Amino acid sequence: MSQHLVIGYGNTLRGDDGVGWHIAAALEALALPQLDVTAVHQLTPELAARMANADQVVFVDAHHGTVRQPLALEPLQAGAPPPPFSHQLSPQALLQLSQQLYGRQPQAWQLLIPAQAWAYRHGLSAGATAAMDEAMALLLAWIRREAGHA
Amino acid sequence: MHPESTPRRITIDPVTRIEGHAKITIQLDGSGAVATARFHVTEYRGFERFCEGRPFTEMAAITARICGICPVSHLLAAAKTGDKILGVAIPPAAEHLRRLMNLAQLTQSHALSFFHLSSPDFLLGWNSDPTQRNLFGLIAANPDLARAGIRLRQFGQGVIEALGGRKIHAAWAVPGGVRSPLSPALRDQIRAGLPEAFTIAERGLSLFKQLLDTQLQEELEVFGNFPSLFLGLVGKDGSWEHYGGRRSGGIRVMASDGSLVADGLQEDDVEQFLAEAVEPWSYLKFPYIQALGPQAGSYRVGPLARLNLCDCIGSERADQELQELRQRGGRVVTASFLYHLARLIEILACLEQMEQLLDDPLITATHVRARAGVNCHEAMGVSEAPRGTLFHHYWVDANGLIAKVNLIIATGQNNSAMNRTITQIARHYLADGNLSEAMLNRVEAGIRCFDPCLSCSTHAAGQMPLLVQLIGPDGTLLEERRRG
Amino acid sequence: MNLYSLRIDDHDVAIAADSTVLQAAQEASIAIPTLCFLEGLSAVAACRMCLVEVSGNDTLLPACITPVQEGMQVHTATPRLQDIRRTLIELLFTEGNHVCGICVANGHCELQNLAVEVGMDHSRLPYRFPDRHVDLSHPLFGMDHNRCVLCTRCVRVCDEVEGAHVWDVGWRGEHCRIIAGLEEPWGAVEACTHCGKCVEVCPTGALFHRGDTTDEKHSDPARLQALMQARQQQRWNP
Ligand code: SF4
Ligand code: SF4
Repeated sequence: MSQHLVIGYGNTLRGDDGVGWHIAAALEALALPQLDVTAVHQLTPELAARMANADQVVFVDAHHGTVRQPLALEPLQAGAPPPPFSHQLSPQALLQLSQQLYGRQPQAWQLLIPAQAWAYRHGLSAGATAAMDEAMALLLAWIRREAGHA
Repeated sequence: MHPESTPRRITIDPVTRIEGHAKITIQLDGSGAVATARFHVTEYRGFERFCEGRPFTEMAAITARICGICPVSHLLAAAKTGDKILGVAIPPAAEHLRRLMNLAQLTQSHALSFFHLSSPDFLLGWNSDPTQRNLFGLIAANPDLARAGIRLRQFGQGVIEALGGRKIHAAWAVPGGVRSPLSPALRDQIRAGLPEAFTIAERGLSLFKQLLDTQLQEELEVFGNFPSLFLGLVGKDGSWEHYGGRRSGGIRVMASDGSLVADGLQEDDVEQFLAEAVEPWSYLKFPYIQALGPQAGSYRVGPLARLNLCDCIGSERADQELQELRQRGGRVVTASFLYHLARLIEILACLEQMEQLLDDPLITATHVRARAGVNCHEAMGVSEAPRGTLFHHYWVDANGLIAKVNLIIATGQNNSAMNRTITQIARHYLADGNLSEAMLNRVEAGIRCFDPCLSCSTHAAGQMPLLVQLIGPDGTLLEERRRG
Repeated sequence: MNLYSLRIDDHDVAIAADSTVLQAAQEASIAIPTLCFLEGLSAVAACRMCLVEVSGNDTLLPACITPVQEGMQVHTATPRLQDIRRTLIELLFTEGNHVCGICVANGHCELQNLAVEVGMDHSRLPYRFPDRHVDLSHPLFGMDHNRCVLCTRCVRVCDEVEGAHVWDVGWRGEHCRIIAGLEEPWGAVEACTHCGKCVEVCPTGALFHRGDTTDEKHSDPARLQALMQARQQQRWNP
């Protein structure tokens, strides 16, 4: 059976920064069969081991630059070494790790959610709330399409 | 030099702190030599907003969310501060369990630092292409090492989940103790993971020691080797300590000649003992020992400090390694590069102490929580986080609602030492007044000795490239490099 | 006894004439989501979760206080109702400050359960981030207004069952909140008997035992029914 993984990440104490985390948490609560979901603060190397068991993975993240509108899954390629002092990896780096360490990597996409409010606050701005709504619909459609009727 | 460039001064304001860059500035003096180098760090502030007006019982769950790398450290510091607000001594079994969790946290955090972040620094040469001097280059050179590091992280994570559960570990340690005891079955499961973890730790140690013996001599001298004070917890008998509690011998401050500046200091006295300097160029505060002033009173915390401060570790294999470390670097090791070795020795110490704890029948005892009301209105709690001593300081109203919070974090306490380290490196390797790759590689590696943690900012900031600026004596920007 | 027959969704129901639509639905094992309603307390239709459609009537009616009528045709799960219920739950989440991950009721919360029931996995409406406070002045219990959904169960249980009437509803509109005594700190209200019934019936993490931390509040509103039965029928469950 094919395995689908959604990894949502961000800092939930910094407003919209946590939108990826919130999306993953919401998906997790749905407990869909055939979907492995994890909501994390940041991407760390051991996630590569989990990814190596998946066929497809979507990374969900907040983004403050220009984001493609409407929201869309963008294909990801392995690559991009981690920045110098960061304790976190990029999705591309995790893909590379998965390949290098475990000999396989899932097909991967990222879903970037526009975020504006990075204040010290728990909860999403109106813009990120609306974007989360769009993202949930998109991800559920993706799962239905890829994993059969979940 | 590039006199024609029109430099743009980047100031760190709250916006660029989030969307800007991690930054290093290297300041030249009139003769073209390096005057100072500074690492500009983001700091978690504004955090008080989540806490003010909340019941102090929520602080563990709130503060554990600050950091994705060491949530357990905040969890324990918050719970210990909560114990003191209640005014209780927690059940001995609860202390055992908290210790066990902290040991697991130290192990997995050190594993990330050594096996994934830092090992490229010593396994791949300094002059190698920066696009190769990273985790991927490491894996290409030594895939087993990176996989072993992941196994060690998974082991530590497994222990934390066995204790706190997958979902709720954010609130497992509570004021008065812990939420749930450890079942014999889970104890045995943890125990079963130890042999592999020991093997990985030993492997890291022998690899690193061999490199130290053969090729890393210069790093020992140049990467932040200077006398300074060291601060951290010690055990009652002067042994290595990471939690405090019943075994605590208080906080010890030691000079590099081995003399004690303070010993048996209680955390409650810390705020009188320390002062925090504020520098216009950094959001991070610089704690120092008040009586000695900002220069002489600056100190280092973390793995190397803990090993320097203790008289012994208290477990066989780690103590052997400690002896070797002291043969290599002296009774008080001043070479910051040996923070890496200290991390490996601490992993070994953690595993040995976990083994001891698991063998103690008390570890599965079921009375793990003391209950009480609000009995103190101000309390300071301390624990040793992977990066060093962590203080939580709370003020609560008569009913236990948080009025004020202050956190003193390890990365802040090592701030002065990081700057001294990169200054030393920049002085040594700056050639012809230019930023060379070989020098920048080393400057970065100098900071990594301290494993500073920026993950309590937004992850967007954590993903930022590093900006290195060379500044002339008159303040003009001479050269700028973007890395990562 | 006078009986009415009515049709709820696909079920024919015959029930005593003084029943409500909610009771009729329960009789027919048709689940209508409720929040403010609690067996043993008066029904107030504050939360609107139990709205139903009645054929021939354009207005939606709250099942908990709508009397049954002969020949009534009730629809409990039309798409319109489903959408309204989801929106209501979204409104409840967004008008307060609900951080489930640090809440005492997490995992045992009726609001969370309702969200699952109505298929609300996230909010489409913007959060309001109101400025609300926590009252820890009571020696045994706490009240976090951030998590209060104004169901008034606490008000009713204290008034109707305990007879102390410590709680009331103060202010209006977005400032509406539960008040203790005459808008005093709870601990200062001498009428409070410290019985804890309000904590027991509160569907969320708003009312809690002091010292509870995340996930630790396990309310059991059914205990109210046992208590009522004991009092009214002199029948005690062991
Ligand atoms: S009361 Fe608590 S658990 Fe329930 S929805 Fe609100 S925050 Fe979440
Ligand atoms: S405190 Fe609880 S029972 Fe009272 S109105 Fe608020 S949510 Fe309802």
